Amino acid sequence: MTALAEIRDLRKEYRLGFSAHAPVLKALDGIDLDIRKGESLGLVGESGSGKSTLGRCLVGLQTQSSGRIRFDGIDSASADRGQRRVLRRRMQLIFQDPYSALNPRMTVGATLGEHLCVQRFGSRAQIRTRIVEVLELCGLSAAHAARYPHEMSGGQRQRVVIARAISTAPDFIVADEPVSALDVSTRAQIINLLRHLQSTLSLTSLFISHDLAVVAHTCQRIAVMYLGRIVELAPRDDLFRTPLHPYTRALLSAVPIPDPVIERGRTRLILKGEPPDPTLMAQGCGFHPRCPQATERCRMEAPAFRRLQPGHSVACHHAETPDRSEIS
Amino acid sequence: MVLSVRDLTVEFAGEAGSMRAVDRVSFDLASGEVLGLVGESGCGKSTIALALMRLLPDTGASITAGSVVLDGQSLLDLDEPAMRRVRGGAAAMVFQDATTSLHPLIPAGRQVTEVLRQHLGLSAAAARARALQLFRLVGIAAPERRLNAYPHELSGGMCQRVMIAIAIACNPKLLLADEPTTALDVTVQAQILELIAEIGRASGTAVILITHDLGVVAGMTDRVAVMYAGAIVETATTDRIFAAASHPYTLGLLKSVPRLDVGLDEDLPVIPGSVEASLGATGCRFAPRCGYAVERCSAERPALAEISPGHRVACWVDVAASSASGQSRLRAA
Repeated sequence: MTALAEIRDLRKEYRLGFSAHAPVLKALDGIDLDIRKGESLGLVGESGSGKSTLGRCLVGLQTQSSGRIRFDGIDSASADRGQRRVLRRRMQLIFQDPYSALNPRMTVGATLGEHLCVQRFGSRAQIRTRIVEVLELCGLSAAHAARYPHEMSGGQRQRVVIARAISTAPDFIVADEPVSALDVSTRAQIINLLRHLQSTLSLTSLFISHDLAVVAHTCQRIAVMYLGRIVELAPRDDLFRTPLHPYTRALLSAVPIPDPVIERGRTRLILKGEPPDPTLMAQGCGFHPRCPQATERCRMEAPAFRRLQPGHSVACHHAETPDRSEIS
Repeated sequence: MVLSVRDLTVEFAGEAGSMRAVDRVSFDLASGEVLGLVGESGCGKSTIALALMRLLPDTGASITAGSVVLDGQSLLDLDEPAMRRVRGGAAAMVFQDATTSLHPLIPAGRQVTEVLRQHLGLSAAAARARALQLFRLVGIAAPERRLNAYPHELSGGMCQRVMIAIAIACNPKLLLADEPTTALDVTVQAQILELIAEIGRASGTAVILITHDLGVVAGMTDRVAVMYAGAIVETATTDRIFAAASHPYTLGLLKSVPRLDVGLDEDLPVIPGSVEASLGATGCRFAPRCGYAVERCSAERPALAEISPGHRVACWVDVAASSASGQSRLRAA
């Protein structure tokens, strides 16, 4: 399969303060990733792992410190104005919080219309038809165009945010925690909507979430991030069946299962400590201070990201001998 | 019973008349028991917690009926100075966002010793020693150093541990935890939940865990009360709720949670519509969104009725019989 987006050794660093000795936060620490045409790739990790930064670099909301992003063969750094305009139309972002992502003083129709107008979608009549079309695609009706955000529920607002993102007929969508701000009963509705849009519009998407269960329902491949690096990448079922990185195993075992019988039978792998301060990046593997399997080598040498099985890559020295006793 | 709540009703005054945020809620809690209070945002679960602690905002919100008895003491009849002695003493609360609930300008240790000195009258040195002990108990690494740390120097999980240390400082009879792990990462969430469960087991503290996450409920509660639009619609032991839920809303909630272990390639079952549909319903509040609803549901509001020992449901329809026959059947009176 061909890659729609190719990311090579992507780095993003923030200097915290103005002095030359100010600590440097490595939000992205050498990311290599291909996003294949038509696939939905899940990106999971805890807060501060760099997953949102990666999404924002991809759509051009942030510029990387170094490294390359190629989208459909076009290098984002060397693209000219015209190419950039086209790229923006072809890649869209769905935000987390539908309460702050919509202008409270604009009707839904005006919000969608402005977006289409800026992207030079077509004549006013074409834009008007398109607004109704995408609202209906997202499970709303033409009548919603006249409403203001405060007249709608959280789920309906998120539908508007999604409608705006797909209105320019993009081929690539970055969804950054699209259901985290929603209630349980509306969350399921929006997950289903995203699944349907992915297949009917044959979208390629990067789905960012801290919730493995949400990603499991929307993605075919999953990448796990820890401290600015991808530590494991695999097809969904492989990742769940044979997680190779100790952090992935900890994440999987931390997800609560809504069934008391199963819950009682599980021995949970509870990680020591918390994600470390990303400015004080230790030598060696970033995960070693919390890893139950860490050895001397992990403290000294950062593991390479290598392919262990077809399509299944991991950055761990001990991936060949995973300690399975620790999980249920 | 450590806590017994009867017909608790809270109303918010608004321009268009008053709105009942909590409608005749009753439940009991035994020592060492963990009750999960589950529902979506706006269902009134946090309002119940604030009402129990008498922390509702002065403007607009008021407890209009009901009684709350904690360890033989009627909380709603206490004056403010007496209530202050209860808060942090016999009843303590852990809030959702620890980073904003701690005072940003006071070192973490002093926020713990303050409680100890106020409630137990300990000397500064004794309070410090006890605070150190509490920090160890809640699993704070390097506790001596952390006593002098300000909240912004601590991570979110660490702040939540400090909050828990403050809450359990005076061995409360009742611990209210309002979404204690929602703001935390999954791996840290597991640690904090384990800690709260352990406190309940070890000291006999009764715990009310307020959450929207059914997975969390399954792991650590003894009993569950499901709330919808201000009222409890179903309550039973945790095992029974998951094995034999009998309210259509509970069933809908259980099915719509994305799970790691089943149904990954199918659409998630959904509850149609949203809570707004239930405003102003005269009959059952869930009727506008309910697949089982019959005429009676929109006309008359069902009360909680016991369908088996300890399992109470507010629904006219016998859901189990209805799914078997494919037709909505009323529950036998």
